[in-house]
Amino acid sequence: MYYTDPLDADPVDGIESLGTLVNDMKAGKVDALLILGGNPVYDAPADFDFGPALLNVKLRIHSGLYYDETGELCQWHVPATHYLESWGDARAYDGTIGIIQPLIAPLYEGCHSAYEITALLGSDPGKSNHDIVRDYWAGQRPEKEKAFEDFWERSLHDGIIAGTALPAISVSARSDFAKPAAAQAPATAASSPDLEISFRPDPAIFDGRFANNGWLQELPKPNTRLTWDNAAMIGAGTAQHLNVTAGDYVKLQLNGRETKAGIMIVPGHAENSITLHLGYGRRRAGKVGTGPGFNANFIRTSASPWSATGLRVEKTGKQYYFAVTQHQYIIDHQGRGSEEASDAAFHRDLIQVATLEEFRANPNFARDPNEEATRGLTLYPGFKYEGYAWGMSIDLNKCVGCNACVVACQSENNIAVVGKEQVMAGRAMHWIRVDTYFRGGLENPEMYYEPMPCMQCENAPCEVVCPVGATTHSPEGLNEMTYNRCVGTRYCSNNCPYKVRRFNFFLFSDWQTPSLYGVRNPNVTVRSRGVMEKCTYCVQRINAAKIRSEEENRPVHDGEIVTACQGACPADAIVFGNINDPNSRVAKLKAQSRNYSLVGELNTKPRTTYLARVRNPNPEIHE
Amino acid sequence: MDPEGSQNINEASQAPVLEPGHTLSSVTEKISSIVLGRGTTKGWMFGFAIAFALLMLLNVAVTYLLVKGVGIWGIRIPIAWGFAIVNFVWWIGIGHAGTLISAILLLLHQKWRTSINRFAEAMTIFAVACAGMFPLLHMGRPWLFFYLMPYPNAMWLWPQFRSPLVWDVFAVSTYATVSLLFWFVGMVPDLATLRDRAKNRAARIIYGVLAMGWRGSAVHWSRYETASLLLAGLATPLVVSVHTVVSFDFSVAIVPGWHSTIFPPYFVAGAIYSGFAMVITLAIPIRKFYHLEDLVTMRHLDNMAKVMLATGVIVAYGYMMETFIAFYSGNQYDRYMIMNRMTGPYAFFYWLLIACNIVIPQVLWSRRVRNSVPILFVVALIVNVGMWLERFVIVVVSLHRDYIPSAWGTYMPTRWDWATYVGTIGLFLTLFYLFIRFLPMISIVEMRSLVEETNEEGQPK
Repeated sequence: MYYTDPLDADPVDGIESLGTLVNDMKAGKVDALLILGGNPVYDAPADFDFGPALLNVKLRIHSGLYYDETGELCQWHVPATHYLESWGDARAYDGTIGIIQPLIAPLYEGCHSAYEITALLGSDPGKSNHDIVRDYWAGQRPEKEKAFEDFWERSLHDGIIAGTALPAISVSARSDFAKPAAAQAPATAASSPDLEISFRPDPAIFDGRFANNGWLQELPKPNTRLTWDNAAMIGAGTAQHLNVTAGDYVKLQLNGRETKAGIMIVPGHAENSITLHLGYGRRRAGKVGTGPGFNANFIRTSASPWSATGLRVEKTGKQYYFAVTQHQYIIDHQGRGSEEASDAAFHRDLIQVATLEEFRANPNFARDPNEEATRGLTLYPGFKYEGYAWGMSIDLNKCVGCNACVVACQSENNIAVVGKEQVMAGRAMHWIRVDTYFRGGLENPEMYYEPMPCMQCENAPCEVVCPVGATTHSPEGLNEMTYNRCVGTRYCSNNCPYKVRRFNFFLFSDWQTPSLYGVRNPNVTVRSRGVMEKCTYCVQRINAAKIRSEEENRPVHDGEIVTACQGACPADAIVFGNINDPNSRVAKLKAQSRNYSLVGELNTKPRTTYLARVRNPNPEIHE
Repeated sequence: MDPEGSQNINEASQAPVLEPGHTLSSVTEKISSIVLGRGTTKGWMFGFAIAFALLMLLNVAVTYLLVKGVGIWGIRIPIAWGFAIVNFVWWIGIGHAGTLISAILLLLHQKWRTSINRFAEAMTIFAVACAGMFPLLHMGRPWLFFYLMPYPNAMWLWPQFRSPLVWDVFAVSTYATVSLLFWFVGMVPDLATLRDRAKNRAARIIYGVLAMGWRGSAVHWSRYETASLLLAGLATPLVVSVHTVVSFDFSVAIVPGWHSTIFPPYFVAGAIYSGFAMVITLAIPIRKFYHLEDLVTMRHLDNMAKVMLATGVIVAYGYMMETFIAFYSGNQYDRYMIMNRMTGPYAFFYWLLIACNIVIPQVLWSRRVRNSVPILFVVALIVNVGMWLERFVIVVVSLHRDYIPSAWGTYMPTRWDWATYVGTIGLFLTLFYLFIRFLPMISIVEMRSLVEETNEEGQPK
């Protein structure tokens, strides 16, 4: 570890500097304002009244990806290029400078980067984005002409400008550093009668900048499994204290400001506190982003942008309906709900968990004697898998429930976004979901995450009941869907014990919007109305790797095929490979004593198996 | 069950199957005049108008369904089958009584069947027509229904014969075909009677074509008897097979609450139960409005009530065994399923089902209840509701919570579910109204054969 000077060239207090600007605008001291990116009309602190102040400015120019709330109040809106479409430069955490290169040419004409807009004010308007960046570095570097050409090419090739890391400096802690921190800590911990509100960036759409992204809107948020909304999240005890129940539509009042939100009771939420995610309640975000959720910025001030006390909750008497994907998660009016489902999950050994001591005493705790008894109980000879036999191992110790796999799968496999109403109707289309269960009461539960793709059962119950043979077994053990053969009886879904099959109840795929054409993976069918679909272990990637290996006259290497969920997993919890090869990573993981199948006693022989969770709680934290 | 051999002093069971005093010509006159003499009455028009309005509702519901997709219904993951399958099984069950009455009772020489068999068969065909719509409509892509049939094609693709849905296609289509043939063949001599008695030229031509040249010669009669017997022989196994195969849709699956060996006999008993309930539901108003009390006598109602009681008790045994085995097997999923049925979100419907199908029909043990037409009518209606609820509990309540708790869900039918269901009742009633207006609803031929016997029976022994 080493220390460097701060990366920020000119660190300022952003809120303070914005406040100064707003005061100037109100005083009529600003003639022209250029807003490059950002959406202050939506997300500036409520006490700034940014919108009305902005209208005092004579010339207002906004540049952004969306014609949003701020763009609406400006006379000029300049469509911005996406960062993947434009040139630029940036510093890495250690100070190394990299040249940002566009991935593709701008999809739409008439878009401009922030560099191009600022160049309008300078000496050479009309200069292209590329020239601006290149000329800047030509001016900065000692190399000239041919030598600069070499430097430029090399930097583009390497992605970084060599030798630009910041030098290490030596630092020491300020002598008074420890004191205020210690003084601050008890103040927050003290139980004040005041209700606290905490503003957090949304796990899916962040501060609202991704609000118009359907994938992210429909992504079930960790723990709550909530889609298309934010919620006033609250612990069970506080809910009882405030006399509110899940789904109550309430007014949240803070220092004379007010916003409305629906109540959602979250097991394990800190008491005497409400969490409200940012980024929702957008008035002008686009086809997808306009509308859903509640605007937390209405009660968020410059003095307390992240948390505030003194919140008052007032019932409106109305109900608000949330779209959650793990339905029974909602704690109903009696406070039941999640418990029954979670209890059943543990009762059914869906989540196998032991403490470190238990694991040491009995490393085979996850083994299911019922499953071992039923294995081989069949009159038919088993199918012999020669060559590859694909399988997956998911380590519950590693999964952090972040949902990256869900979005990665959605983008890889052209999975449709269905909208809030259809999610509420139980028709979300995700091929992999992250099941969440709780153990040990609502106040302070343990949380468990379990990613659920298709299990690719060797004895797949879905296959035998399909009347038209639209779902069949591949010689490599994949349970495959033939979309154009499917007539949509949905019998397979009923007979799937894992309920990982998804049905196109309507024409969910958007076949009309031209901007979506480019989003789709050309190697995956875009499904139509009335057909069943499900996880295929990214069969398109498997086949691509097999073709490549056959061309090169070699077997597929272990790790050569990475499924979309696996590739996105930040914790490396998902491992895919050939289980016929005892040296493959997946085969070794499956050979571990922690390996277990879900409801394996049904003799489905799932190819996706799990590695049991081993907990090692700190005895000081754990009661 | 031989009513003649009954030792009970029982008013209804000793009543004749045809009131005395009828002659051959009075029977013919009475039945054929409903079609030819009465014309279209106001009462008929009123009932038909309601039925036809409901049929048009079906028309709208199906059109919207085909335009939008099955998402207009309340089905979802995990409850991927909802009203459509509930209604399918319900209608198919109702369709059981007709064949049972006309085939099995014919083979068993139960004379009392004669006055009810024609409209019971008609009811069967119309119920099967309603039932048959649902498996088609519930498909995601109904225009590809022929994928379920073994037809020669360039890709050498066959249906997947391990799937019970394919067995369904064969079972239901065979049943519909045989029932229709049986019904039509039995009607040929009566159509000839109508042809001969019709005054109107168009009616003469239409009935004449349908009578297929029937002249009543001895050879005709001999072939007619042979054909009837053969068709009865063909139809008899179907009574058992159709609902057995329908029950396979469930018992072959691994869903707790479906995966049960008791299903075939229990479904067949349930089907006959609901079928007889429907025959009673239809027979009571018809005999009242058309003054057929002397042809459909108390003896018929009494016998049908007894069949209902018997099959109802078998169904009750089925429920008890289902519950018992869930606990006896030690299977935690089955145990949860039963407890969830009894105490879960849909518990109300389970207990309503028990009340409708088991508790209330026990009143039929009482002779006085069986002899009371209004009470019998109400009990039959309750059984119809109960059998619908049974299918709802089996299909929806089993699916809504199966193995993986994270995937549990709740089902709510939409207005389109109801519109389709009520619409098929409209289709059924429309067809039935047309049937009683244009075809002889009681077999003239078979009733005539009873005239002599009842006149003899009417004499003091």
